[in-house]
Amino acid sequence: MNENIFAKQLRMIRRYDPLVVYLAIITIGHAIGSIVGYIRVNYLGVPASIGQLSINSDFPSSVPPRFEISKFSYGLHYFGDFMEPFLKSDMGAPYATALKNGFGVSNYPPLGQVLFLPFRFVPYHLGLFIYLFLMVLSVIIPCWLLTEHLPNSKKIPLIILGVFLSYPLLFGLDRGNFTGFAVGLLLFATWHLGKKNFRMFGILVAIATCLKLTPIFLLFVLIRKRHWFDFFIACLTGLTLSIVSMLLFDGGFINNWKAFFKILGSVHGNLNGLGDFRGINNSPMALFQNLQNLNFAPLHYLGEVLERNFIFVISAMIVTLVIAIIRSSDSKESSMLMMTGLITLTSSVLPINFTYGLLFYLVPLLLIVYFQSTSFESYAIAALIGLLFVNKSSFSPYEALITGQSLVNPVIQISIFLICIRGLHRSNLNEEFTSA
Amino acid sequence: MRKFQKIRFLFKLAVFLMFLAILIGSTFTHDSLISSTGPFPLKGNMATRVNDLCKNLHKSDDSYLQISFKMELASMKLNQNSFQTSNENYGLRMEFDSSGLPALVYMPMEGHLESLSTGTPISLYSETAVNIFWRHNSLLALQVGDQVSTRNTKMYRPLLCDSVRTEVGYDSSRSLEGQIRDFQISIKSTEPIFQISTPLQALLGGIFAFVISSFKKSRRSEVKRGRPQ
Repeated sequence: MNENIFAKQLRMIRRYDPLVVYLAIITIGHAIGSIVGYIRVNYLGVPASIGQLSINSDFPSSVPPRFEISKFSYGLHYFGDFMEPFLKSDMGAPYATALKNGFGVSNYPPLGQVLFLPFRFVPYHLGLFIYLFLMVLSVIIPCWLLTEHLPNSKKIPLIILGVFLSYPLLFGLDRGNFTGFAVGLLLFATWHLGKKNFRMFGILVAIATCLKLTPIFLLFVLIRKRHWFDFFIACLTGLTLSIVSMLLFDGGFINNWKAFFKILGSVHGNLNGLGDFRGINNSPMALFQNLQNLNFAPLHYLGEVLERNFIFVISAMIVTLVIAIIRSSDSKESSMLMMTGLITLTSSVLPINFTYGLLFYLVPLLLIVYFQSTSFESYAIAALIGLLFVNKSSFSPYEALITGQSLVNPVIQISIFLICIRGLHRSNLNEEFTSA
Repeated sequence: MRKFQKIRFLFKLAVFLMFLAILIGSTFTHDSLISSTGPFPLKGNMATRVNDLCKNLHKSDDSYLQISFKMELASMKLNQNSFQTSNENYGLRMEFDSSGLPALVYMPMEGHLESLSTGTPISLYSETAVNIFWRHNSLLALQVGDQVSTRNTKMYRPLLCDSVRTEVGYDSSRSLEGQIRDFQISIKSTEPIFQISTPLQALLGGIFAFVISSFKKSRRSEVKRGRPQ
């Protein structure tokens, strides 16, 4: 009886494509989130929680002392992720020298830091406007290309509701974070992947890697497809861009690289004691840490074991996915699942992943739309990405360490990962059955 | 055939338990003493003694400074005859005068102040540890009791204990004379039962995933064997 009801509901959902399911979830989620947020702030007088938009939570922390930051603010707001690297690029030595001085240290990769150099030639506020405008364009244009086949009745709601008004993009714009550029590059790369232009795919992924480091996992697509020369070109592009970018900074080439890796180790290597991030973190690390805050001993110990062995968990995830990809069939469905799994790694591999980092999930979403996939996995992934993109900070207590987003978002990401593994194994079994 | 399945099940169980033991062993920690000084009476500036110990802090990751002491009051002059049992105005305040990173640590004392009125000697004591979390020669956090204060913005700068100033803090309406005894400073290190380095952890994770995926393969072979003709 239960099975019949389930099958009936599944049939009912399958009358709509995954895109509609995604749009329905994100629209309803936004509406509920906005209403709850409005009532909390305006009726109950509860301050907006730390992960919410438009509050003074982007106060720049390590700006060189010679700058008067009030000149760069908009009331209480700073667009800190633009302002900080902008000012650090003005110093010309954000790595070795800054580390020695103790201020103005940049944890952005060299190309990411170079990105801010052109904005020094225009007035600050105009530069910020151009930067944010270009970021939106770099996300919207490839989305438009990937949805060319869709009628306007679906394409326009997707671009406006599903992409532009998605919480990670709004959050990224609010902070002025440049993740949007890396996501834009990956979306262009996905479009080229759809056209089977693997060389361009590799080059764009390499540039995105130079900006954000973690997209490097997507290069595994070229290995899986055995495009060795394209893989070599991609590696060469990435290395050249990084080396040339680093040469532009003062402080000595080798010293700068040493300092950069030291900074990376300090920022992302461990989180012990840095509990403040737990409320706004979306990495599985946030889940492991928050499990320890729950008043339930088995979950507390589980969280402790997983937090201590975070590298073990990530390594196990990487190997599991690589094995599943190697064994999977060479179909469109497998390509979609492979890209989704690799994006999950991109988003989960670091112990800190703020909300704008979730924007990487636009890649699998648009790939599902592009391939017009209607498998169970496509529906599940589209629905989960919809849930991921909803603003959950409205539901969290003010300045709480355990927030809706830091508990729910890692669970959603792990679920997407497991669905990918299941789908990839299933594609292999299906192939064996059909070929037998 | 059945025996083979049983052996395979036992092998899977053994692998799973082995990884579980490694994970748990690398999680749970014990404290090991690196060096300690005291007990000695608190007199004047203690900078020299503490500095010698602080130098050792840089030598070990995950090390922390633990301070414990007892205070015996010789006399106590009060502006009022009776007072509350509240301890919050009494404590040891330590000021780390570091280059660019000053940190004030206040250690509240516990004791039985009621007995003052009887004129008997009084012991105040504190066993609060000031935990200073270090990683790669960088200060991560200062912990007093359950409170963790982080120094996010300056986490790259190591805390250099150039000098340490200690004083007994008390309410200005009361004066306190006495001797701190059993003042003990020790440097301890938190170490897991099994020390697993990051590359080894990554390798073990990979092996674990590989073994689990191999199980999946065998299940798939079973499905393949049993597929309908």
